[in-house]
Amino acid sequence: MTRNKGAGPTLSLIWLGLVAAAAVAAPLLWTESAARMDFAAVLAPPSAAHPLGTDPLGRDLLARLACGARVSVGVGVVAVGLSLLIGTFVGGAAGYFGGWRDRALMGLTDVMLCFPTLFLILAVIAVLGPGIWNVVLVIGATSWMGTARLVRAEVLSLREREFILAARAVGAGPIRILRTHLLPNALGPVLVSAVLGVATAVLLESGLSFLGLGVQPPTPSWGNLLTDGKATLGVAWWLTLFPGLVILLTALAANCIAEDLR
Amino acid sequence: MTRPILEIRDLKVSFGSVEAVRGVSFAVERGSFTSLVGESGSGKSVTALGISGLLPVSARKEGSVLFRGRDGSEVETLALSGETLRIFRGSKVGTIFQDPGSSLNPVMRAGEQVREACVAHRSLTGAESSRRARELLGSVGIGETERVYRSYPHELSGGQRQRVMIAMALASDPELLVADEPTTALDSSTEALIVKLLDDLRRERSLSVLFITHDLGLALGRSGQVFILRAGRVEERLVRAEAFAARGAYARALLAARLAGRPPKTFLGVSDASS
Repeated sequence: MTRNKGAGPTLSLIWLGLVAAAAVAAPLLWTESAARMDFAAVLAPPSAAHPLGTDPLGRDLLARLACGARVSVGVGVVAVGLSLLIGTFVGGAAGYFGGWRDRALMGLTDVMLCFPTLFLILAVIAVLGPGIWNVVLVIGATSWMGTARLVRAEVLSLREREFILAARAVGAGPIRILRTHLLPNALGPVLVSAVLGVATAVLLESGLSFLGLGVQPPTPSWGNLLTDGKATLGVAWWLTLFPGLVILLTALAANCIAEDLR
Repeated sequence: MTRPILEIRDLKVSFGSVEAVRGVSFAVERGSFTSLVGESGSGKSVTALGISGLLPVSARKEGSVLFRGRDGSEVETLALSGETLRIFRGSKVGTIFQDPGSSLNPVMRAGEQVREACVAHRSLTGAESSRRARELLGSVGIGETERVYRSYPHELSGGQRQRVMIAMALASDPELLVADEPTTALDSSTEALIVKLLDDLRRERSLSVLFITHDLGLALGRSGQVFILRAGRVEERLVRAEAFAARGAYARALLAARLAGRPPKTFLGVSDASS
């Protein structure tokens, strides 16, 4: 069956490619200019010299957004990696072993799902204090439940397949079966949910930084660039519009690709 | 005469209120090719699972499945659990399943799966295990060993997949090979080749083979003994000498069912003088 996908997935890939390139390259190329203050061009609107304008200290917004990509996307990817690790472990163990282990692990998952995530994160940050690694840790530790349920469901249907019986027949132990047979076969849907998870994590990081609880200035992240923009919204619209747009486009692109992969 | 490698006495297996096996007794002589024949639902697959130690935990089992090793050790298979059961599987009894399409992991290369089977019971280095996997693939009559080693199951033919399964089952040098309808998913020319391979392997590796099938004709071709199962019980026992002479009513009916599927002789252009 073929269906017309339109240009969405392609454009999304190009955008994410640009963001990834910025995350890798920008801190090497732009650290100097991202921090350099050009007092001749304070709060300058977009121009040839500063394509996206400058902030109240005369710093180039494009350079700061590019540098922010490493922080925001990095936080998103590492946090999702952590949540995949927890979710796969919990879901895999619950699905494969079944019985009381399944009930205990899924009970834990349901309890975690009952907390409103943002408030849970705020409470944990209030205790641990803000900072990049705390944000990663908290996002990772509060977003694994979807993955756990997904992996469990996959494992439940996979473990009835004949090749699992065949693996048991040659004498493979439970850990080996889980690692080499069940999890690789459950990977597809998990990767889709991971891409969606990156979008959510980027949004969460931006939200936390916007509230001042995430990445702390002067390290630029998309969220705290947005916060900075808020103060001068009346005179310098570009400082709010462009960071917001970048966050929006990145989340949109990740969603679009996840939808396409499915 | 040596004692049988496998002795099953009054095996009963039930799932909830369903009695799948209702008292099966038979023995497999060491080094023999023995067949278990029966129609669907006669309990032959459940018996096979019982011998391989693969019955689900939910199954209720009674009776005795005694495995006698080459070293003289006797193992009551039904009583095994946990780690001892895992060690028994594969190293004493190898199992081959009906559909080689679904009994191989679709996302793993065939050679890797054989390699996995090789390290289930012994610790080998990567180089040792991959060499052993290639040897095994060679010994089951796969021509292009290297290509098959690197192929995913969907890239192989049914016959090749079943040979890969047989290689996996042999990985830990079992003494008994239980083949549960290994040719049902294959065409009839491949079927003959696979059965011949099992019989050849039996002789080369001094294996015992328990061949499970619904096809009595196929079983009679190779077996020293045939046990016919019906509704969870052994209905008849045919030994080679008497196999073609004295057949009970049920054996005749099974054979007739097979023959009925054939085209009339006139179709082949051979005149039938007796009619």
